[in-house]
Amino acid sequence: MKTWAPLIEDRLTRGLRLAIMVGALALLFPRGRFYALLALAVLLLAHGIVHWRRGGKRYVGAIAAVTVALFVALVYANVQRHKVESYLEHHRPLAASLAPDGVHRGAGPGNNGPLTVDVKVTDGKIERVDLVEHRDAVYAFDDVLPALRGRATVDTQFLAGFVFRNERSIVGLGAAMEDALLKVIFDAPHLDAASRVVFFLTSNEGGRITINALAILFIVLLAFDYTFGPTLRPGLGQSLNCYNCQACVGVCPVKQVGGDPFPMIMVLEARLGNVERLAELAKYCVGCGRCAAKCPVGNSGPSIASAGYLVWRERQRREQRRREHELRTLTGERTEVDRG
Amino acid sequence: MILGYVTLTIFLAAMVLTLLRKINLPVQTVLVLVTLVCLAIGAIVKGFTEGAAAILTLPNEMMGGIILHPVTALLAGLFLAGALNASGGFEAFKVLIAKLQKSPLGLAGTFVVLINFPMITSLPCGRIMAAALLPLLFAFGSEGGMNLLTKSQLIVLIGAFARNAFGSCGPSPIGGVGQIGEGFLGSHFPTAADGILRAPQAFSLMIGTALTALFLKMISRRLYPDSCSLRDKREGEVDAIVVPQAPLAGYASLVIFVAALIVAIFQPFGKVPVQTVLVIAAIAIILIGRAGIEALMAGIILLPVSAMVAGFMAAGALAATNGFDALGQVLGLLAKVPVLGVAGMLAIFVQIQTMIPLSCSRILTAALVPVLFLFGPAAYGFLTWEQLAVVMAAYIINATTSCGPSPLGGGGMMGEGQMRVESGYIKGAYTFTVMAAMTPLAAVYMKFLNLVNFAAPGEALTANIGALGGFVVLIVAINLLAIRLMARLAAPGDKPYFTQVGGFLATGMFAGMVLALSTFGLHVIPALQGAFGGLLAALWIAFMVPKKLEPEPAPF
Repeated sequence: MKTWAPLIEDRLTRGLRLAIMVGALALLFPRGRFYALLALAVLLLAHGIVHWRRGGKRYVGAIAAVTVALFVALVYANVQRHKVESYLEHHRPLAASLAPDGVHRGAGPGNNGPLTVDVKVTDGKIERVDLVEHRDAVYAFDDVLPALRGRATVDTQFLAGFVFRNERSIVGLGAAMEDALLKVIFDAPHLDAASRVVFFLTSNEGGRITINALAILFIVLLAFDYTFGPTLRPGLGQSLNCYNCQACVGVCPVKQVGGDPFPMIMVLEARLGNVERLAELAKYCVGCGRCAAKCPVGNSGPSIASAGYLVWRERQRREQRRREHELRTLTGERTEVDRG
Repeated sequence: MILGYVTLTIFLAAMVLTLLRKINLPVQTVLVLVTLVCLAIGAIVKGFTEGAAAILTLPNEMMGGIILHPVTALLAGLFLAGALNASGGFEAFKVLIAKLQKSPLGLAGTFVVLINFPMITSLPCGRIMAAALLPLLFAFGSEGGMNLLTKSQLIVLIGAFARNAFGSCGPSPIGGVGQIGEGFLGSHFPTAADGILRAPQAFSLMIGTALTALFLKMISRRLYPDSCSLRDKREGEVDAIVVPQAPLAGYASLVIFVAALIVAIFQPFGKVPVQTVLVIAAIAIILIGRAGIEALMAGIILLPVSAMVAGFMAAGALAATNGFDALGQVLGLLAKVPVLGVAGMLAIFVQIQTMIPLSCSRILTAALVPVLFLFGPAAYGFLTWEQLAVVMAAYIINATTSCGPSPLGGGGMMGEGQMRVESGYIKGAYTFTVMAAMTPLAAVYMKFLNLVNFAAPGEALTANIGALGGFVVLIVAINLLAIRLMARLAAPGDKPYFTQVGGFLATGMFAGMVLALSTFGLHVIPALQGAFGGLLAALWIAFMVPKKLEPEPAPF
């Protein structure tokens, strides 16, 4: 029966699985986004180097192109930001009169996440500032919002007088107001969409808490992959039940292979997905089944050995077919496989 | 409350039936099934009595039982061990052991260090050290090639090492079982998380290891003489000269490993979660050792991790369906039985995990520590906070060592595999020493020494140390006497077996009495009640020790 397992096993390798999980993490965990992306880049780079060392050049070009593109994007976005910051440095405190009358929306970093404000400008003055969305404490902006009414500028010095509330909230409010005005000042530079995407992906809170959370997520991801792997290979899922008790070793007539406890080492290799090593170890199994009789969960050494060997043989066949296909493509000749 | 009794019965019945191999499934599978059944029953009952909204809260309550910290800390510890193994750290350790042998410590001194090494390193699961070092111990025998030890010496060495390893998860500050208890005691003792249970466990484990070696040497070998398939040195056999070697990266990784343990335990850089320290150390080791990320995964031993999560889930399901309230009531009723009282009930309770030894102690610990906590001022008020700490110390050491004698794939089976003996060989030695020595030792240590540090700094330390010394001498002496008496009659057959049961009962009574004295002070009634409770626990434990061991199946 044709199953998807070989396809998944071949294509969805451990490196790729981890890359997908880390990528998802990067999108879902704002504070750890930069670190997750960094890990993803390192993972891809390591994959590329390993692949290159083995003589494969298939993905190396693509990985190099992605790396260069990322680098260029980072430089471009930072140049854009520098322009905006230079403009602000020269125009602070930012005058409301530079902006046309109307309600302008801007965003900035709050204490617990992004905050969005609406700044209403009338006759060159700030008529009112409304918080559209924020995750900070409900009292963080109580005094400051009424105090902003009627002011002619977004004055960070003035806002600094309210930092007893929460410095990060107040600084974020100032940044959001400046963003709102900058967007509508006709000669002001502003971040384009590409730069915003880059900063979305690289923004982070590099504190200790973030690193600790990432360490725990790293542990969970590896453990998930560890338990997920064997289930992809037919017949090897039973290895997840192993207690590492070595009861099988006690009754096995072989007992040790290369210093490793046998047949338990077969089960452990099956868990890790080291099918080549498993196929090698399978040759030592005499098939007496005493381990299965002794195992507290009924794991069978011979069964693992044969399943592992079959998976390995199937993988070898697929590899051979792939090589023959490549050869056929290169030479244009019909191979044994084509002839059936 | 009827719902609670039903789910509690299902849980206990499933555990006992699994232990007796009437349910032939991995214990985690059983726990997950029990969780689902309990939740289903809970949903039906609560649906009828409290409405549909009550059903929706059940899964959340079950998930709420999962405590993530010990799970992730354990996994991080396993990663570190995997990295250490891949980079040759254990090879480096073997070189150090070889050098130690040639030092003034000599062979005997080196073995003593080696046997206690799991406790010295205190990793979150004893299997890590056992998997790495048991082959080294085996190599000291004739079949291993070094011919340094006879067959019986090798049994004692491996058995004692395994005993030490399969209790070392208790005092481990990096995801150890004891941390579950420390977390609960933290609600009264502000610094409990700094290791209030660590020293009592380590102390009793050290003495218990020595007594285990003695029991194996004097009793087990005589009770099961035909069980071991190891062979002694043959005439004319040449000893293999084994000179261990290790790569430089192995030494470096060993240094990182030790540094990581020091940082995790003593926190010199401020409060950093243990997981972060261990993950950083593991990554540093795999970079130095040029190992892949697979090296980290190779360190994973799934059983304790999945067992802990399954245990937490079952505990959560029991909590959601009032199972713990029912257990509390049952134990409360037991405490009202005149011959038992609170002291007798506690004498049984602290031995419960040795009575039902599962493959990983975390399964029941996760479920029962909250129950023990309820005996304190937080709910039933049977115990003061100080008394609760004493009972917790006794309970935790009993719990953490329970994977050793478990026939369900417990850690002790790793030792039995290396000893080439039948399953059950070590059961008598392991259960006896835990019940009779380690449990009361942990209680007296907590009472007379540790509580002085954690709760009452003004107390007279000298007097306490004197009392502790007296109790330790008494407990060890009683154990030595019992082992000596049992050894005199030990031989295969029914009669010696019942003599052994007698030894278990006498020492069990004594252990219950010491626990009661440590908890309630010098009062006659609680002491007698404790002795009776200890007797009942010992009765069950003694009859779980196999009379004889099934021989291996004939060679093919």
